[in-house]
Amino acid sequence: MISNIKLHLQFMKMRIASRMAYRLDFLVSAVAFFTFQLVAPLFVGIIYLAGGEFPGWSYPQVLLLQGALNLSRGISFMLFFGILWNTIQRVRRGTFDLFLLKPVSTLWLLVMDSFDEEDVGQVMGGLTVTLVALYFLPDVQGSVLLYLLFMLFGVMFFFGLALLSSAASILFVNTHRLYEFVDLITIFAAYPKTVFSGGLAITFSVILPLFVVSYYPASALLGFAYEQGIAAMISTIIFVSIGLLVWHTALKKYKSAGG
Amino acid sequence: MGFMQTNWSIYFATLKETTAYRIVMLFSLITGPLTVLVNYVIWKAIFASTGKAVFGGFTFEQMLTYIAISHVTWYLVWDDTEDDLIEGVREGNFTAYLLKPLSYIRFAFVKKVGHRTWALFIEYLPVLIIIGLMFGFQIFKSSNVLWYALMVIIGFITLFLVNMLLGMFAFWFIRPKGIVWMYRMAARFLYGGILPLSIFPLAMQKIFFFLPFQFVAYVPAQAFIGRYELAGVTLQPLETLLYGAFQVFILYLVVLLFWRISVKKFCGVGT
Repeated sequence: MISNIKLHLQFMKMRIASRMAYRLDFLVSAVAFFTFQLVAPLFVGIIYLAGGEFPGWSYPQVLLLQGALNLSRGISFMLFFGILWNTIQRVRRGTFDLFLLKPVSTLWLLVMDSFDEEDVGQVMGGLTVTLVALYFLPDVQGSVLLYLLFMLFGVMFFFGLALLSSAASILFVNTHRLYEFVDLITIFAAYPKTVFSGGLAITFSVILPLFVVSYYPASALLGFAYEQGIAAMISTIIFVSIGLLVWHTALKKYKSAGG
Repeated sequence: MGFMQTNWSIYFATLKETTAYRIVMLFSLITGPLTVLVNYVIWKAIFASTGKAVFGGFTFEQMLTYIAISHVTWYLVWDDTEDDLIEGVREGNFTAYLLKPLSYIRFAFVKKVGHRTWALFIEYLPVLIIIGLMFGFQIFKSSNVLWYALMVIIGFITLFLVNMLLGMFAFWFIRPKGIVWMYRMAARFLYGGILPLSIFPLAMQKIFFFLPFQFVAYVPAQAFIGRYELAGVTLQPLETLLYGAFQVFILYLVVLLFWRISVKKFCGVGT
């Protein structure tokens, strides 16, 4: 395990070093990712400015929710979500086979190789949105510990999603449009649960526990009731387990493509 | 080979090439209706919270039409000209185009026409039907379909020219990925795809009015609804079309100028 962690850190150092060969491009990319985090907050800001609102949520409260989403997504995209793109590229080119020959767990190797330094911009964006929200919400009465716990589950949810997407890329070549699907799913998470009707709200709380990446951490910090929060946590564990199972099954069915 | 004959050859070659990606295009049958669904849910909540029948100059039905039309229009105008050019310059393949008695810009444009012809049948029409089945076909009731089609043509050319400009950064920077990303982030707002441009604060609308990006999503969707208003300026359909044609003309001149300067910087090897 320790040697794996050392190897992981070594991979990260190598990725950063190789990216630094094009410093300006790295900087512009990171700024672009940072800016990307402001799209949803700006959208909601314009809605509130024009007189609209989401039932029961003030603008800074929605900002806190979107900050939580941006943070959990940013951390996930930086640390492991690149496995989707990496799988797509490697399966298409036939270089995925090389991973199978190495004396390290294939999944671990794929995660290590998928570290994406540019997504530090996403993390910074999420942090900025969260801090701005907290500036306008000086007397939040919720639990920081619970907020962090939900955030951890949020990252776990993204890991499950990354595993399922990567599995699909192993089974079906040329699935680059899966990213659109992931983007679309996260759009649902950018708004309070109160926006959604009963069926959708339950689906995203329990069946596909999407709200664990945004609504639940924000509610925990704001001191709001977080009904079905525990169910969402359990559901996240099941979701990740299914992800792992499907990924390993897909790996067994992998047939070298190349070309 | 004559001018038109060359164009037809490129067009049919692209049609054949694109058949390989028709399954990938079918992905839109899931993502397209889902995108409209999420917007439907959000806007329903916003309209319910305000208790007003009109928000930002739109009734709920008009907003749904705007969202649906601007979304499906994207399938018709979309292109990845910038990616092709960037890859060609970086990998060195661009040299092959310089040796051919054919303008790269013309080649890329005809290629886009071929590519989007497939999108019309595999993405645009099926997604339109699914959305109609989900939300009712009355949202597509319009007496301005011809104006809409003309604005889509303007949007089609506009996006192509903008992406050509973007791709030309490959001649100036070894890795222009960051610039492309930056543009794509800003473009989400500039096109009017996320939010109708007329809902933005007036100061921002004044900037949007002078930019050509509005013709990619905002103008076609508004033309379909039957109006054009931005930054306090109201235009009739013909005036909007002429304004779009003027914007395209200016953009085309900028592309030609930048192309002439940029190609001189090409070194002819993969970098």
